Formats: sequence, C-alpha cells, structure tokens
Amino acid sequence: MDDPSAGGLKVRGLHHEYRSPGQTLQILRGLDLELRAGESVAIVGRSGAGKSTLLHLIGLLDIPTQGSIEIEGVEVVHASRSMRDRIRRDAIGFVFQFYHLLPELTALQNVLVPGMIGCSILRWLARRRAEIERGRHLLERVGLKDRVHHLPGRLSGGERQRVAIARALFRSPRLLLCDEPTGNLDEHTSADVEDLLLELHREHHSMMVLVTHNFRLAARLDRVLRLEGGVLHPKLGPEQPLLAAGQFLP
Amino acid sequence: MESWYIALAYLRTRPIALVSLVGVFLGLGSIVVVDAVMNGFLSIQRQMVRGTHADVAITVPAELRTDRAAVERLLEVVRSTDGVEHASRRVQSVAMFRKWKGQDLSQMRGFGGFHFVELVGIDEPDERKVTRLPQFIGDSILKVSRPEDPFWFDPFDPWWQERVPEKYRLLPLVPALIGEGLVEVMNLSVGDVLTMSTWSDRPGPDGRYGAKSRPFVVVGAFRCQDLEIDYTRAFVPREAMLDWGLENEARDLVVAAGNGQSEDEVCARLRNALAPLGVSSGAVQTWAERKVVLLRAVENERAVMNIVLFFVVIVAAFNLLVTLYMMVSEKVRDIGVLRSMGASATSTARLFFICGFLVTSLGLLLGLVGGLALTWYINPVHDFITSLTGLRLFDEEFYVFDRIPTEIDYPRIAWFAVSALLCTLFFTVFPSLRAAHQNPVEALRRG
Repeated sequence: MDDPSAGGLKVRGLHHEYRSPGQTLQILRGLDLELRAGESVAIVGRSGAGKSTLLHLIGLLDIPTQGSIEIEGVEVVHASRSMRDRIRRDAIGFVFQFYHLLPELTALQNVLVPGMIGCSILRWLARRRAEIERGRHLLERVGLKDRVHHLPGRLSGGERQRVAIARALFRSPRLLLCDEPTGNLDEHTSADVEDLLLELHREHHSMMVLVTHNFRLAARLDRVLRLEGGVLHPKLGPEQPLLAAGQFLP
Repeated sequence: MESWYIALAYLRTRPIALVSLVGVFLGLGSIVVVDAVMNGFLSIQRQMVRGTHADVAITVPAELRTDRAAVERLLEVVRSTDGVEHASRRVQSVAMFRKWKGQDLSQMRGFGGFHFVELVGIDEPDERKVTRLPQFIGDSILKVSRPEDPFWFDPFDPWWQERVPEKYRLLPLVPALIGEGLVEVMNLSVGDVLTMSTWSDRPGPDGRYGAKSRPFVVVGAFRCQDLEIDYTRAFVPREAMLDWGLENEARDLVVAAGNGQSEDEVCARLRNALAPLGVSSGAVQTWAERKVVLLRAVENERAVMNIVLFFVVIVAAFNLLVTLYMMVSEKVRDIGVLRSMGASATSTARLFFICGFLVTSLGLLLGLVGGLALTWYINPVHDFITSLTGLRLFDEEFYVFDRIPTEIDYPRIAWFAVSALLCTLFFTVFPSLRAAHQNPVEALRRG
C-alpha cells in the first residue's frame, strides 16, 4: 500500500458546477487531492465553499463536470452506474452530520442494512447469524451494547451518531467520508464521538476524508486542507491560529 | 434483500396502507361472491331456459312436414350423423282445453273455462332418450302418486285407468302429460278427463278450418322450471295427434348429442348433412342458440356487475398510488441514505414496489379467502343476518328455488385475481419510478 495510486484515493483536476436557468455556479475549479491507505485528511472551509459537494463527488453520489477520481487504482468517474453502486457499497462508508438513520429500524437493524444491500434473500439467510453477530459487536464497540433494539427516536444525538458510525464501518470500507460528524452535537458528546471515530479509523486502517468546522477535530487528523475558490490549499492562512487553538471556524 | 426488509418496516408503521389493503380485499371479495351467486343464478337460468329442449333441434321445412317418407329420410340422415346419439320427432299444435263436459267445440257458445295449451306430440321411447322430460316428471307435484314409471302413454296402463271416473272409462282416452302450472291452475289430478279442441292443419273443401275435439286423460305432470312451458304445454302421443287429423308428420326433429360431444360441433355437422335435403342452416339450432337472448341477458348482467365491482379494486389501486406517492415524498432522505450505502436506483424503486406488492397480495389473498368462505356459507350467513335484523335479502317467494344458488368458477376467479394484481401493481410502478429517479445528493440535502 505504499503506492498511493494503487491503494489510495487520487483526485485530479476536479471541476464541478451547478447549472440553473441563466446562471452557472462554479463550485470546484480543478481540485486535486491524494490520499494513501490509512491516511486521514480534514477539509475545512467556509459554508458554501463546496466541502459537501466534494464528499458527494468522491463518494460517487454525483458526477463531476470534469476531472478524474481514482479509488484504489480504479477510475470511477466514467464507470457504469452499477459499477459505481458496487464501489459505493463495498468500498465507501458515509457518516452524516444529521446521522440519517432509518427511523423505522432499530439500532442493530440500521447497522445491518449495508450488509443487506446487493445481497439476495437466500444469501442473507445463510449468513444472517454472522452478520447480526458483527452488528452487535460494532454496536458494543461504539458503546451501545444496551441500545441494540432501540429505535433511533429513543436515542440521544450522540448515540445516534455512534450508530451511524457503526453502520458506516459495517462493511469495513477502505474510504470513510464524514460530513461534519460532530456538527450537531454538544461539546462533550462531540469529543466522545471524535475519539471513537479516530480510534475506529485507526483500527480499520481506512482512508478518511472528514469535512468539519471543528478545528480541534481537524487538528487530530493527519492533514488539514482548506477548500477555497474551488481548490484545496495545504496552508491554512488566516485559519492557522484557530487551528492551533482548536477552535471552530466562524 | 434490504428492499424487502425496509418495505416491511415501512408498512408496519403505516396504518394508512391498511386502507388500500381493505379496498383490495373488499373489491376482490365482492367479485368472488357476486360472481359465484350470478353463476348460480345463470346455472339455474340455463336449466330453466333449457327446459324440455333437446341438445339440437331441427325445424322440418314446411313442404316436407306432411311427407312421411321425407321425414323418415331426414331422421335417417340425422341419426347417421357423427356425434348424434339419439333423435326423435315432434309435432306441435295449439289447442284449447278444459275439464270434460261432453261438449264438442262446435257446440260451444263461449270460451269460458278454456285454457290455451301448446300440444306437443312425441314418440315416447325416443323422447326419453333425447330430452330431460323424465326428470321433469320426477320433479313434478304428481311424482309421489306413481312409484314406477313404465310408459307414460301406455293406453292399457291400469295405474291411470283406475283413476279415471267410471263413467268416462269407455271414452277413447288419450294420455297427456300436463305442465305443472296448468295442473295447479285447473286443480287437475291423475285420471281427470279433459276436452281438447283444435283446428285441422288445412282448410276443408269449403275453405274453412274445422274445429276438432277429443278427450284426453291426465296421466302425469312435469315441471321444467321454465314457467312459459310449465303453464302452457302438454305432451301427448304423436300418433294420437296424427289420428286426430293433424296432418303434419313432424314439425321438429330433436337430437341428443353423444357424451362428450360438443352441441355446437354436432349442430354444425347436422347443418352440413341436412343442407342437401333442403334444410336451411338457420333451421338447425342448439338449444342455447334458440334461447340466446335470455342467456345473454344474465351473462351481461354478471359482466356488468363484475365491471362495477372491479372499480372498487381500481379505487383501492388509486388509494395505494396516493399512499405510495406520499411515502416516497416522506422518505426522500431514506432514499438518499440508501443510495449512499450502495443501493441502486432499481433497488430503491423495488422497495416501494414491494410495499405495493405486499399490500396488494395480502388484500387479494384475504379477498379470495373471505370471498370463497362467504360463498360457501352464504345461506347460513344470510339466515344469521335475517335472524338478527329480520330483513330477508333473498326471498324465496320470488324465485323457483329456496336457497341462494352459488357456483364458483375458479378459473374466472383466478383471472380476476391476476387482473386485480396487475392493475394494482401498474399503479405501484409510478411512485416506484419516482423513487428511482430521486437524485441522491438532492435527497440527502432535502432530508
């Protein structure tokens, strides 16, 4: 995994724009990003800078206007729809700011959903026991052993985010994409979730791209990049003191 | 797999889906019950309409009716036609009759006490093999009076002779089987002697039609449930009608098709076989063709009822469409989340399609089971409702049968169930496609 192009993420010359009648909004302008296996990067920037858009493009939920994205050596921008679905299912995990758990399913059921996707009923029945065991283990690992059968509505914000993290890690993704994972939590809970996320990231040896306004969390990752003017800047400029102080970006 | 799992979870938490389920259940259940009852009525109607008709009847051309050799030739051709098991001939005439008072019609001053009757002359041994007349005699109100049934028209049968008043025994009595309606109206019983009066088929030398009367004796009654026949017809020996001066040898030839033979096919063969003998194809008809108007009426009624009831299913399908559309709008975020986890557009469409499929299937299953159960127990259920409310929905006074008739046509029911399934699933496709076309990024943002 020393060769970044073989086991990592390589984004080259990424452009993206939103078109509406009479207006074209240029979000990304030739963005480059490279990540080695196991590496983590925090992306900071002002609201509307295109951080979430970048995550959606890397996570294959959207197609860039121009540029290339390689995940583990495979160019994915021009891949077929089914191929993109498969890569998203097998190699990518998402953690959202608002958790996005399915409200009708219990914590354990939510964690199990990624394992069900693309799996036939017979195949699922054959490996159901092992999958449930893994789901329980993950929930235990995120400290929710006693909340396995709770519906999301009966969990606190921090607990919901823990369930979301367990769900994102269920298929052991090589690339974890986190969109402000602590943005909706109080400071204390946020610190707990940060610790857990980084710990699990290290355990799973996955790449992690994390978008945040929280400089304390950003400072704990391998690299911090600033998204401004549609490109990533390695030097933080005016935000540097905030990062050093572990503060939030205004 | 996730589509089934999440669809079940969605339905468990959405009682509104039950409305569609109940709609499908009621729609199909009603169709099953109504179709079975209408089939029952149709079956009885067919029996009633069929009455004493043979499988196929041939109207002998007018120019051949008095020609014994020609009629014999026709009969021979008919009997040798493939698929024909038996054939017989009938003559027919209209007469007036009343209880015997010794008068001749020529001496009569008025028509008081007379009833019109359609006299049908039959060859008894052949007729027994061709029509269901023996069964109708068994069903009549006079059946208990005669334990055995050797020959109805045996002039020496002591059974009916003993029942004739002694003063009439020397009359040249001709046995007659009378329709039960006439028996009831005239309060007849076995052994009663009747005056039957008719007109000769052809005018006399003076150009006038002469009246003819002769005594008949009631030897039995029949009930074929076709009121028109039960109240207007009497069967008498054909030979007696010929002796009476009615010069027709045969008006109709009646045919019984062999077991397993299609009436329509036999009819077609007979048309071909008789065409060279001057019998037009329109003169050769199955009993159903002769009664097509009456049968079509009930069949049309059944079809209209089924179409009306199918609208209940369509309304339920619309309800499902709205429910699923609302569900897709409500679950936009879930769609985005599932897509982010690798679910394809097809599998998100499948999720909502499965919701519709489960609601429809369960509704149809319940409709089938409920409809069949109600059909099987419709009379006890009807009696129970009557005992509770005092309301009698099915009043046997208006019908010739005393229980609600049902006949389940399973292939038709299966056809309705499949149609209902396809119709409802068709409406499910639109919300499913809407789910599939959700942009995952937009879905996550809106959620």
